[in-house]
Amino acid sequence: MNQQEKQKPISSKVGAYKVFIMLGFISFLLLKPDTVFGDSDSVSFRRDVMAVLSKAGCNMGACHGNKNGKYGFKLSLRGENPTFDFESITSEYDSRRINKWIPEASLILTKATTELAHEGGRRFQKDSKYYQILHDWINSGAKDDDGEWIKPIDLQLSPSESHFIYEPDKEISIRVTAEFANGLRKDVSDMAVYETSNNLVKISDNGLVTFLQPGETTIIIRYLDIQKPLNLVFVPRNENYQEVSKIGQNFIDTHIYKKLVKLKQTPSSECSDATYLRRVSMDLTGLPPTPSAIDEFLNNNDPDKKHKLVIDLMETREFSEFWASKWADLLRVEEKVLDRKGVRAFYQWIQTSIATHKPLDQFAREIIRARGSTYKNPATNFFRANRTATQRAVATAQVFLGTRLQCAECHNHPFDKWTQNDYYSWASAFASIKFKILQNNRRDGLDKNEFIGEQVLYDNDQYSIENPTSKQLMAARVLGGKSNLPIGSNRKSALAEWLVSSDNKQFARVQANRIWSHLMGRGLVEPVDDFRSTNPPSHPELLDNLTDYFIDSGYQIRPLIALIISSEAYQRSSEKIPENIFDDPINYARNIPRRFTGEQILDAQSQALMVDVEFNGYAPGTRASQIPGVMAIRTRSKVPSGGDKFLKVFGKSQRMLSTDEERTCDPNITQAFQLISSPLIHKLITDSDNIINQLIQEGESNHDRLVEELYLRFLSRRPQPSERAHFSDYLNKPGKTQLREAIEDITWSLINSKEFLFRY
Amino acid sequence: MSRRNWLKVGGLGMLGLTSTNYLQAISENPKIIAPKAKSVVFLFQWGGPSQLDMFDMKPDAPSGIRSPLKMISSNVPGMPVCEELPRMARQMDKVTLIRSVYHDMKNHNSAGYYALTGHRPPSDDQRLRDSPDLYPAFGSVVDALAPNKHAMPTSVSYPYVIRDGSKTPGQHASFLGKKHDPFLITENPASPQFKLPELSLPKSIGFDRLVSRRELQKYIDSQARALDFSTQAAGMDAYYDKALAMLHSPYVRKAFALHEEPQAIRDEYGPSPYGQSCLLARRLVEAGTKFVTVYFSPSIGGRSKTDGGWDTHGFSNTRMYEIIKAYHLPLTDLVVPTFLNDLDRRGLLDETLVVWMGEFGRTPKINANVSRDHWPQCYTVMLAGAGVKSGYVHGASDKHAAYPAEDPVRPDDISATLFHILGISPSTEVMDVNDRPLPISNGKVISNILA
Repeated sequence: MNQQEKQKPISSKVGAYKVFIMLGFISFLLLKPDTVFGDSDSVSFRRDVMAVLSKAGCNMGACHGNKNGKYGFKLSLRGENPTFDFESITSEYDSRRINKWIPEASLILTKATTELAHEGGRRFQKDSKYYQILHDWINSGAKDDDGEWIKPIDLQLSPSESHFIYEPDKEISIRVTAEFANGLRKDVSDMAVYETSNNLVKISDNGLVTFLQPGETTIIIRYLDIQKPLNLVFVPRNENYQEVSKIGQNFIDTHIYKKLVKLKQTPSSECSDATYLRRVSMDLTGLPPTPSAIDEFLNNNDPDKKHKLVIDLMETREFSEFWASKWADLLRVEEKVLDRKGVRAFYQWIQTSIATHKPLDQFAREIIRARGSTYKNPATNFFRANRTATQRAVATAQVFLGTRLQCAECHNHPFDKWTQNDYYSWASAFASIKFKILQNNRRDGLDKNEFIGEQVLYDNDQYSIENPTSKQLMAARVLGGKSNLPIGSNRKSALAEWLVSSDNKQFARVQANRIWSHLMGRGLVEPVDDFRSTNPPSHPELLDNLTDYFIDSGYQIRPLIALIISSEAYQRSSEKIPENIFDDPINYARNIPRRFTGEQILDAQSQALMVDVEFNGYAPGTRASQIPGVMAIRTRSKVPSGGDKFLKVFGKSQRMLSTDEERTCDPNITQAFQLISSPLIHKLITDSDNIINQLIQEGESNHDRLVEELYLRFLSRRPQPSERAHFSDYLNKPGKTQLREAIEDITWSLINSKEFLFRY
Repeated sequence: MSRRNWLKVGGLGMLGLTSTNYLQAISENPKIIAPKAKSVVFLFQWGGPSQLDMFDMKPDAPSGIRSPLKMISSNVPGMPVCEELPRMARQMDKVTLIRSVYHDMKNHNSAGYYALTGHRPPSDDQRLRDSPDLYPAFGSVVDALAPNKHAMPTSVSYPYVIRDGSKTPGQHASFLGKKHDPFLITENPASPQFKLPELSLPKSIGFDRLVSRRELQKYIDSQARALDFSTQAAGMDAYYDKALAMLHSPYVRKAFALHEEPQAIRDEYGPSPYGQSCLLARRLVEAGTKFVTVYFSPSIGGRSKTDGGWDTHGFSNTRMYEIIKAYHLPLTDLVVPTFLNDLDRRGLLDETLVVWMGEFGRTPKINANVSRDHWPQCYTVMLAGAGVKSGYVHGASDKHAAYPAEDPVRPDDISATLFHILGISPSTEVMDVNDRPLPISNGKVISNILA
């Protein structure tokens, strides 16, 4: 067959189908899925070749999908732009990449099979279907599809939703069926791309998933420009599993337990009252309970004491400060851009909002609508911190809508639905926000990012910005919206109303999920600011119910916090038991310990030892959790204090990004050095006025009492008899004439103990 | 392992090849090469040294462009150097010069970031903000991808944190996470009291006392059943062990114990912080540190004959040539040849790559202050030791050293070459804050300079 004969225009085929369909031959076509396009021997560029380029990984960001391409060959990222890819493959380099006369000599084939050296390695075998598709396409003239081609409009997966696999089974075959615009369906399991977010599974070319270890994973299945997530869970054999008869306090436990049953995991038992008290105090106020508070709580026989404790703590100043600093992380409350005065004003506004029970929807509305001086109307500082329309759009989406848009600045978002047009339409919503810089007292004045002085937020009449790829001015829309935002002074009100309106439950979902994560250590959607269809929640119904509960409580955080804390899930012990040996971190069979923040650790030490920690720029007695900003005095004007260094080493957010993830609690070696040998910790322990001095004076001879007091102060519990004995021994050790030194040693070891550093 | 920390190797999302078997894939990938160098010492020349007055002299250019300093021949034909670098002239057989490095960042912080990470910054902004969405320092990448197994830190930076106005980005681990930050020393190696706070215990705490404290701590931990199964807590334990090992290891202490170096050798390097920093670099490399970054100066300088960097504009009625003749050139001529020699006679030059580079060069045209301004369009970078040719020149500048005339090289290519020589494929990907897989370098290995 010669070239000419093979090049039949596809459009005529499309027409033919339409006729077929009209004639009612659908059932016939469905029975022969491989011929839905009428010609199993003809290859479509947009449907088949593009699918191969994705399947073989050619257009990944690491390979030719890189914005600079690789070795002169560039493809659009993940095939988002078939027209570009067609040009790139067929036109550049004098068509070296394809050889219509000797197809098998085409570079895209010889490279992909490594007949010619290819840095990306072998992408497919010569006898594979993928090779055949590319070969046939070149052989038939390497044409782009003419005019309309039949696009896929949906993917159906089998299994269609979250699926559990029980040992000894460990495999599942995913079937992917594409539904095309003409209503026809085709199995594309071997053409779809499978991506996983963790390394629990391996997946074959045609969708056979094999679990390598127990756990839960989300597989993203992509065919051309459609992608869908599939949640798979591999449940290990668990002979110790026992069902629990009494379930839970509230709907939280119902949902969590429902999944634990499917996972054949028995939850750990309830934690002790002492652990509960420590946990709740640290979570709500950032401070451990004092010895007297411990006594009071443990000796209290009120059956409702746990709940009352929560209600009481949420009304303290410490609560509003501790929770204000979580928001200060997200809203970028830091001195370089807001300056010290602005930091104080903004932080106070946040803290007062929390202290006065301001509903979160109102809180957000006030930030979006803010106008005027950054000193007099502190809510304007969110937009002062984010300097451009796109930064404001990205930050607003991330903080309030839990949506990461950064990818869509340069190309369509690879894991989400957002296109570049969506991005710039949304950014246009922020185009009118401008600042009048009344003064900038920074010395050199060169700066575009750092300010000292008052600024005034006003709105001008710029209502749109350009999409740099298409060069089109984009009309402002709410994120993903279909209709334009109003032009004029009511623009920002409309934006603010939409953000928190009942039509946009996303705001409440994100905030409910974030509160959950603060208390439970992990979001139901994780990361908490990365909501997208390809990152589904671990417990979808639970998140729905929490969202509704939050909305029904008038966007108040306290009822939701109290509800979560009252759940068995929150109150579970951290101990692993044989009945929940499958120790996955996302199903709440037990509490997963996590390191406290630097602020919590430092404030707890300071409280226990009764010694202040110094922070540059703040009055003595200021606690770490009360610091409104990041660094009040520039490090080159004054060497950071021991306290400042400690917070930085322990991962306090520098507040450069609008994300929860800038604060880190990952341990590292510098933290170990801080705790082992830093001058700060040494000084706290050896301070002659600290609690050790007091303890010695109160009763040098009663070592039991002394050990107990230290345990209460640092670990919020009494020592076990064995611990008491061990440390009494240490204090009595012959040769230990220096009682103080021995107590300092014990104090050091308490500060360095996991129990002190970790929330468990 | 969190998704963020999940390091992936480039080009491996291929058919049927998922993350689980990427390790096998590394060994199968023909592009993964054996390391040619065990270590890299990166001598960062902050402020921007002049190509026209050191290693790419243009004596035939008109006055106003050519250096007022004379050119002298070196021990390699075709590699003449400035007359103020006579000792360097006798070591040119150990180095490769790249005379065609270029980029488009005119400000110190943006250009500095480019040099320290190999990644072009998003904007040429003097106040380029040091934030976690920028790329990590070379040393952090090495620590993340090829960490040391022994007590020595993989990556060490000193003796300053550099800044120009604000802190220059590119000096730490950024999105790789704090645990990959280079081990930073800000104490002055030239000071007689030089010691590391991390490796120094408070006076009243001897190592024995620390050990008994650690025993007490372990005892408390042994009671905390709830924490037995915490991987994070176990991780912290591992850091304690490593920290104590560092505090106790005679090996690590020795590496940093500059005072144990014979006085004659200390004198060879001279009394400056730069000289003693290079000596310390040799000791660190000997002890197994893989990436050492030595900053020439904390600031861009350029106005002083006794300290500061290379930024000699002639501001405040200063004059470039007086300054570099008095300070920068003699200091370089003392320290760099001594360092190369010292490495060489200990056999370390065969396993250590030395990189000498600034963030840009200086204008061909001498300005009204008889000085030179910023010039990223063309400048010279010097490499020496493991993996690269010796007595070799790659690329060439035009007749005024204004633009590359042959084989232009971007900082990206230098980073690719550097990783390549350390045995890390430049296309290796790391995950950024948004979980985007990003290659550690977008450049091309400069294969012509490979030995």
